Amino acid sequence: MRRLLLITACTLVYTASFGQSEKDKRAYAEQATKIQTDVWGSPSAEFKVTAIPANLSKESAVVLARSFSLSRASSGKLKFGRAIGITTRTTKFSIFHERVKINDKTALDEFSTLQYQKKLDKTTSQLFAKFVDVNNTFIGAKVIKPAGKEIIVNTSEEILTKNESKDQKGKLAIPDLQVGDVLDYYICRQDIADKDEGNLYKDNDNILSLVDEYPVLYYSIDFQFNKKIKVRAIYANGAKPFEESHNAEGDLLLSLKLTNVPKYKGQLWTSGYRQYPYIEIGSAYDDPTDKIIEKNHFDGKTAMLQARKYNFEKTFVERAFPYFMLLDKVKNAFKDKKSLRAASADSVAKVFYATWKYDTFCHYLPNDLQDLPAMKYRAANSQGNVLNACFILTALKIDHDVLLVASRNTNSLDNVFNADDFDALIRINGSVPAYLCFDDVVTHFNEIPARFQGEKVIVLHPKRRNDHEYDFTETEDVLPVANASQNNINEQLNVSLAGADLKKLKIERTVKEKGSLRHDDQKDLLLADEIDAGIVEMGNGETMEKRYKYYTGVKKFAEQVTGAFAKEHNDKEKYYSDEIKAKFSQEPQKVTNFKIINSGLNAGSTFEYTESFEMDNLVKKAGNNYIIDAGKLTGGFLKLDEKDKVRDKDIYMPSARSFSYTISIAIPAGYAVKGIEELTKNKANKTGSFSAGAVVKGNAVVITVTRVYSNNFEKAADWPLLKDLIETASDFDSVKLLLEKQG
Amino acid sequence: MIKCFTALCLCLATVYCVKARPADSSATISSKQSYQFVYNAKFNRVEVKEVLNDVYTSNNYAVKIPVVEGYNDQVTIDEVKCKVDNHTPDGFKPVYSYYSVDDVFYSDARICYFPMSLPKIGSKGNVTFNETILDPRYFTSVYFSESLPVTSREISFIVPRWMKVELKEMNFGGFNIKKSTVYNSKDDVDVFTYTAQNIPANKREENSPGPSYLYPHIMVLCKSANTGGHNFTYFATLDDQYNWYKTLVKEIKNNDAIIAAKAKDLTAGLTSDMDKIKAIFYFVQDNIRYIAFENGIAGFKPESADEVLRKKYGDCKGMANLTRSLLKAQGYDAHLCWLGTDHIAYDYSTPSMAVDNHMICALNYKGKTIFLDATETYIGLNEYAERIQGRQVLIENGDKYLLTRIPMASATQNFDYETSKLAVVGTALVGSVSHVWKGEDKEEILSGLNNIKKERSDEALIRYLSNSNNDNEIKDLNISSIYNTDADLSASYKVNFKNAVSVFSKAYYIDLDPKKEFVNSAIKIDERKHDYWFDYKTNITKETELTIPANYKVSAVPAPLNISNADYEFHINYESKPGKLIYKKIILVKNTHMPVAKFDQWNKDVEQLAKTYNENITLKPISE
Repeated sequence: MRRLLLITACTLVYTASFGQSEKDKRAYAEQATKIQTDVWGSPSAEFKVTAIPANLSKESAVVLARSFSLSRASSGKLKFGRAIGITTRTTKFSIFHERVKINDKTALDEFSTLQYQKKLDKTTSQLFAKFVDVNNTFIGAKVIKPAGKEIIVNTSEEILTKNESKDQKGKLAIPDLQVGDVLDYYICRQDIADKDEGNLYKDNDNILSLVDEYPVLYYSIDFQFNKKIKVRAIYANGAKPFEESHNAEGDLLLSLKLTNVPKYKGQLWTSGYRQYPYIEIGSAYDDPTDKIIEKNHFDGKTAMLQARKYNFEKTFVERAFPYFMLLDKVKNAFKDKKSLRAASADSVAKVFYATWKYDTFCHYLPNDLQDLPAMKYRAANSQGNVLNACFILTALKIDHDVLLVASRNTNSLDNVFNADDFDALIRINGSVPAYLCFDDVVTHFNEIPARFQGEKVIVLHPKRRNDHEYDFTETEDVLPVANASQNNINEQLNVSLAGADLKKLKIERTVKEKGSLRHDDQKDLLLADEIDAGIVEMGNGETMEKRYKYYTGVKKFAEQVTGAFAKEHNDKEKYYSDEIKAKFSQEPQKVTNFKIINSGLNAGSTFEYTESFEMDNLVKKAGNNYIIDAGKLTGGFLKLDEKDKVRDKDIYMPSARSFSYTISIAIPAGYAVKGIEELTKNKANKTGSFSAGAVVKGNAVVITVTRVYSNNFEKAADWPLLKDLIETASDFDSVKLLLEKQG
Repeated sequence: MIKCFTALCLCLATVYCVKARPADSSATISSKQSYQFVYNAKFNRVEVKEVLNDVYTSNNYAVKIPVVEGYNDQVTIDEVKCKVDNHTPDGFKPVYSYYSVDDVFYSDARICYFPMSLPKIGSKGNVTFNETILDPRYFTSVYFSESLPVTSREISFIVPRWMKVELKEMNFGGFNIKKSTVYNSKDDVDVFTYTAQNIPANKREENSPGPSYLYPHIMVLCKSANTGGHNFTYFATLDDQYNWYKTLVKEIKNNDAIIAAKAKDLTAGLTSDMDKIKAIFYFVQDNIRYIAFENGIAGFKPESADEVLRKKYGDCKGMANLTRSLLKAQGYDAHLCWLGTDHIAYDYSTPSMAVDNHMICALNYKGKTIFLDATETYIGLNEYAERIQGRQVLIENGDKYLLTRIPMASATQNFDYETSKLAVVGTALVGSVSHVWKGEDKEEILSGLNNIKKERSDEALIRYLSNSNNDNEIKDLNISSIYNTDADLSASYKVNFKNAVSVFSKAYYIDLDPKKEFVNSAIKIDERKHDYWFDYKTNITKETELTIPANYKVSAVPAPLNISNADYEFHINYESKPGKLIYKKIILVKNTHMPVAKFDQWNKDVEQLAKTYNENITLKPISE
């Protein structure tokens, strides 16, 4: 039934795109009716269900049934037009059909409006040919009342928020939908396009998650592709594969039926693309990737990864990249050729990295001036920069590898589908390996971003054949993982009672941050010109005036950049105030003496800053005595929500990391401190540790606290151990000290 | 939150002349605007021709100004010009597009926009819009201020002698604005020119009064015109305004049979009037979603009641009409009424479409008028949301209107009342709590709970009751129905306030109040410019009975706090009884409008409140 519909639907749309406006409207209406008949005419049993299981009665909504079907046909068409020859005619037809039980007002709000691109016609003409590019969308909705009455929504009640002859956008408020009703709706989309672009895998890529925001009782996915289309799919994290078959015309039919699709649980420290089943399926007409796969006999689950890797290797064409300028700068950083030759591999690489950073992050365009501080949050493209780096290191005869890696926060390396599904970095094979990662502005030489640590890498050892071809020897490896002490925040706080009645705390705070824990605060607290100055110094860069001496784009551009930098200084206090508020969950007062002690931009260095401020609500009075919320001076440790206390998913930590605090609280004259013994806590297991203690030193009580997460990954079976430490730490938040008046 | 006539305020009814601008000092504006009343013989109507010329001067390099001008079915943009440093920018092409207004599903609001780049300090961007307002009723106000500082603004009104219009000056105090009047005998027009210098940029602050209270502007009250051999009546008097509204209301074609059947169904089995009235009112509240269509005349004319009933959605006009129609079908004396919420500074003493933005239903019942606002989803009968309390309301009453006010509720309409009995167990306070909420306190909680997915509502309520503090464990929660608007909302539960008790050398130091309302509500006087308006009146009472552990006595309690003035009260005291200590707190905010002049005293009083909150009680062994 559906197959027949597809062909008929396509024909009708094709005809309509050449017709008059009234004819278009009639054709559209006829098509809409036909689709409605097809979708609702003979629904499967699942699309007749109205009741939900008793155990789901508390859900906001339950998807009783959902189906997604897509068909695609592509073929070459001879066109006497802009490029006389063959173009590709693609016809796509998809239907998303869903039947939802609405159980509360939130779901009612969510499902009561449909928005869609009703029509988009980008058809063009040239010479004797018309290049069709039309998209039409058809919607239908009906409401099923609890007593069984079905009310089909009149879609002519839609509102067109854009109503041009070739571009229409619509909105429909579903009438008479109430809590307790079932909504059955569909969105059908037809695309016909005569064009050469848009036919590759990257243009026709669907990711189907097999978990959902709502419970889904039945989920049906169907694809149909004509013979000329190639299809590839990845089934990740245990996703059930499609059943394949063919029809009489040789079309490929893929079908998957699922029942009781689980609800997605948004828990702490999970990685969706690593831990939940999904299918990535793409189709292509004449994508070079298929030729690569066939020619090289790549097969199995990693065929796409192999193809993307192959393509990546083929981009090592020196003449396509202006790397010479950067190479010259690196060479010029050494006194002479002899010094360069004598330098160790990693010292040369370090100079290269610093020079690259200057070149990449310290050159600004007029558009950047609108929001120069945003420059701090840029990140470099790893693949493109690795190419340049490889050319330069090869020219400098530095032994190195190109590593391909996938982030822990996205698909695994084996599940690479598109060319940008993996990143790249360089490993210098010196006496000790060193890593060059082309990432954010504060990443150090020999620093691996936390999201790559511990991940499997494909190691490509390059060998230059000529200026447009490199050969690679391939192996595998695993990236090292920084230990907890390498990702560390160390805080020193000097605390004293303040205010007219000593009900505030005055806090002088010095913070040192290392490793992955450094990045966010560095970008938030360093000013853009401080970062610029730091990178200029490391990379032997030029002053602003020299940088733009010959810049013809905008007059006095150097002055403009300097002016834009200066403007950010007005926000400096707010940066620190925001940082304190984020840390202590309340607004500080009288923020003063805030400054950067060490920018932490140099390789291996620590980011250090200091600030003074006052804080309310951390001191209680009790008669003549004072009670200090000492535990809160760390800023508080993670408290688990109920939903996170039980878990069966492995734990993807951001990194192994540690936190240490030394808090010195001045004891006012005439007072003694009580309760320090309650601050002694120690707990350790294989996932980490928590320890705390306090001693009186002179006229201060000094509290030390250390919290360690030992690993960047834990198995679900070890969650109880990790939870134990988390709860020990969060319990520490409530410890108090008494300052008791003497005499 | 303004629901119904938002589109009117922003687009249809007002020529507000507030364009979207970056809210910083990257540029300044000098401006010349002229508004000329003309007679369009072809369409036999009076129109207003606008020429709006703004010159932006940049204060920085590479400043991008997003130039945006609104229009709709009643306002057309006839021409747009732009020059930057005397050149038309490359690729200058204004875009005309649908504009999505908050809380409005669809309106005829449109925008014309284009980005304008000012490359260097001192660059000048010269923008001119030529527009036409097709009906003077929609020309209601002209503002002097913008989101950027205005160095100078000249506004001219060219008024032919056949046009009767009053220009009312609003919020001029403290601003450098001069007026001149010239009669041009050749054209028989009066030219009224206002010149303002150095108007600061608008500053948006949360909980501040609406713009018509704050910023200097001119209310344009178009009354009538006599030209082209015709008389045109606009809003010379409130009668005129009412007559226009009445015409729209008369055009409503309700299907009385459908409405009557529904009303009968809703009141089946009910005998008392109040029960029937409630059944109807709560039905509309609970079952009609707020979806506003403000497209052209739909922005003013209520939808028919049977259509609202069929669709189960509508805006304030539709919901008011449905409420009225259902009540009338049952024989009650119900009427539509118009009003402006407290977002608007005006009332009907200045007849204009700018004075109202909402519609509700008025019911005359046993000599009393009850106002029914179904858009307030969780408020009960005879309770009124803060935004409409005290507001003047225009009630349709056949050929004549009635003008009255929504009653002002006292703070006791709202109530957040908690009683608890607690005992010391180790370092925790353990016991039971009962809670009752009324009025807008109840509405806030019910609204919050009904906007959360059902499976998470218990969790959300527990989080709310525990003040989002995991140390405050809540168990055995029993809550009255969250769907019953007519009754107070009540809850009872067991609590375990972990770590509420600090023990040092056998002495207990206890914090009895984990909530500490208003403890962080000091106003930043050096930053805040505008008055502060609370969301609604506050009436919090908390009574906690603490059982003193055996062999213990109360060693110290905080001094009582008693702050009382016309606007608010803070009371905290402790009372000893045998074996018990009673903590009682009352917080009242009686006047929701706090002027800047009172910030200092408010901060001092909040400081005292915080000080009292942050004092623990001390229990020591009797032997000490």
